[in-house]
Amino acid sequence: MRINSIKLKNYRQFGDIEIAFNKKQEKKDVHIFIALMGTGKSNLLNAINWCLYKKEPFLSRENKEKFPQLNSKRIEDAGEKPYRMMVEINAEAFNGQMSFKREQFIKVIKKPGVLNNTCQIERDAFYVTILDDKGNSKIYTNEEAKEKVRLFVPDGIKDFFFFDGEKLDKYFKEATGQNIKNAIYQISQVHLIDKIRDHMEKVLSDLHKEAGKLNPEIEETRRELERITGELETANTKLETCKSQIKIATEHIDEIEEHLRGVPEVGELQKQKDALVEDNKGQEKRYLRKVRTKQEMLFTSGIDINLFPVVSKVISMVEEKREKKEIPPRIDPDVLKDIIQRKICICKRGIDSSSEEEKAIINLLNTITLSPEITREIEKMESSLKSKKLVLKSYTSRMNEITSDITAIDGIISKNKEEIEKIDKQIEGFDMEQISDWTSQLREYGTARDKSLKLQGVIETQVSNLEKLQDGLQKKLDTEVKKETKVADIKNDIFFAENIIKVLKKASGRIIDLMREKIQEQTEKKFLDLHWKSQTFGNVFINKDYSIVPVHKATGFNCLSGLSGGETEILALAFSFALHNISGYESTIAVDRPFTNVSGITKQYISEVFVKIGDERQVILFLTPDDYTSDIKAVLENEASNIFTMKLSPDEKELVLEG
Amino acid sequence: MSSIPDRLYIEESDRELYKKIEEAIDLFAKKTRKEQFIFAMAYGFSNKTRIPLKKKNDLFLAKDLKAEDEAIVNAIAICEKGSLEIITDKNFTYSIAEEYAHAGIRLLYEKIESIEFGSFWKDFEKDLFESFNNINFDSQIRYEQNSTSRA
Repeated sequence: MRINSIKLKNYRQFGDIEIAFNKKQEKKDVHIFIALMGTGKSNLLNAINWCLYKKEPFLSRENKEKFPQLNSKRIEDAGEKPYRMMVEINAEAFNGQMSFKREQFIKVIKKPGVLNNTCQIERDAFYVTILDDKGNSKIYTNEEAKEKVRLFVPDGIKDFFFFDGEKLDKYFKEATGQNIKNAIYQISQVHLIDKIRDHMEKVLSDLHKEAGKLNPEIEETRRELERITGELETANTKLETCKSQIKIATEHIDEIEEHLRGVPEVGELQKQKDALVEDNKGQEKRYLRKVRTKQEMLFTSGIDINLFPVVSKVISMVEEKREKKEIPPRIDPDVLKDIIQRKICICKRGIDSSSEEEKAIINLLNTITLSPEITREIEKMESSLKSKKLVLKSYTSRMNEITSDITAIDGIISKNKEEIEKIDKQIEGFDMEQISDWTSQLREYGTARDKSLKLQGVIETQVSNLEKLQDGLQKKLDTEVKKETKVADIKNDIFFAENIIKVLKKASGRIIDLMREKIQEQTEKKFLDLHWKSQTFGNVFINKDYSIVPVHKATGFNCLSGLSGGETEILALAFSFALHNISGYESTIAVDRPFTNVSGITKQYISEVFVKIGDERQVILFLTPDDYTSDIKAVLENEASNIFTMKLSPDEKELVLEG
Repeated sequence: MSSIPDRLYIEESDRELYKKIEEAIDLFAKKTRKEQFIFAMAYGFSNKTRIPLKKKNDLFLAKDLKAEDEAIVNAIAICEKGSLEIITDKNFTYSIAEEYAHAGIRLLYEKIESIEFGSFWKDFEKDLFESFNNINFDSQIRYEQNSTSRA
């Protein structure tokens, strides 16, 4: 099966264009499109998909929202009449010609203002025309037309024919076991067997109902069995969903862990940094309090130290006066004067004139030169000055203590800052926002997986219990039916239906297993055939869970995660090839930008692979001028049947094809 | 006989200097007028400079002086006069204090102007360190300056 030509009318950048994929003699069935980014390469792939499946998988969400499908020039020139937008694929298939044509009649409703125009689809049609080798043609529409598309390339496996090269290096991450299982299921055509099985299950159910009418015990058991079977189906669906969730979470976890490999434990480091920053805030406050206390000390001590000479001198003067007894110790001179005048002592005893007592009192009075007021003032002052002197003596120890406190806090602050700097250096150059995002995603997926794993355990127990219950009820029903003589006529039909269901179940599983084994064998063969390092790899397995495992020859380990972008691309192509061969859908392979994730000499190897594939299959490649380097050109130029250059018209609204 | 003065004065033009010093030294701004005056007086005394006031402007009331403030004001006057009795002459004791404070506040302002902004306390600590080491207590007490770069 190959595409002979594609006609496009008013679809996106394509005004009115026909591309013929003629295979030239002596050349391979390889066709190359070269165009700058944004010119319309991917939209040609979208056009094929839109025509066949009414889908545009190669369109970015932004473009989907931004640009209407109808060519922008038509929208500008739009009048009252609707425009016809059409894509037609003419293909060679099953010894005849197939034509797939999808068209829509679109009316443009113009409104004033920017971005206000809207497109209204007035008619939407899809036809498939088949022209057999005798020249008879037949047109199919609706479901029949869709059925013919399924013959060409089924929607479910189209991803194994039309590739986005930018995603090929992650192919087996995105095309999970579930996708591969679905693809194998589709090509195995086991859905026909499953349809028959569904039908037989209905027949069996009706037979049981009939038997139940004759025996209430049978009816009751049948109803219970039906209920349990329903519950089991629900539980199995839940289990599948749960397993799928676990798989998705695991894939995301693996991918994020791959991103985070070699990246420091940012979350932990950030926590440490936050703690240090927080500690420093407290230390800075402590530091400022201590500095303020020290300044207070310097202010007060500054007064005392600067005035120390006067303090010291005045204390000495007072002491000198006291030594000379010029300062009376607790004696008021007025009292002495009163004693001398009245000749009566404080104890009321009389004092004789010129007596020794009088002489002693007069001498004492003569030595006192300071008034009691001055004396009191001096005593008060002396006490204050002595206290200042005393406090000043501890100045050294107080100052040393506060200074060492400040130095210690300053040390802690500096150490914290050094630690912060160290952490900053460790995380320097990393996109913190991205890492933090990954880390939080990793946590979320981890939590989700843990929850799903727990749930899986619960559901598995539930399924096991339901299966036992179902088995018991089935046996009970069989026994009831066997011993019931009234239902003798339908007994045989029931057992016959049950046996058929069993056989169909087995057959379906066996066919899929066989398919898997065949695809595995062919994938391995093709991979080793296409790969330029065929000695590096041993077998390629498709496991029971449909995961693909290439084995490293020397070590015997799974080396899928170690494959380069180019090697993964080869494996994806080999797998697709095997799928095509086994399914019989030997259709075109189209790849948008196949060299995006490939570098160096591998590019050349891959281009040689496409030439090799071109011996057996039609290959359409979409490249940018940057992709089409001299080494690629050297391989493809002489082998390709067509090399088209795609350019936009001067007004950038339509595509022009050269070549 | 002159009456006992009820307040202490500064030179009118010094008021602006007090304000400027408050702006330069955070702690100075948090002190009362009396505390600022005593600090300036001590600084003037340590620099052995006193300048008589020409145009007086009152700063705070004498009753605000505590016993310990009164003690050092008296002590300066006693040293100036060489007599303990002078303490009864409040006109003299306050006047001497005012003259030292007048000189002191000017010297302080000059110092602040001459050093890098924010380095007053570091510089002041250094000066005190030298003065303290010249003090002769009964027992020999010395202290080692151990200031930090940020103090």
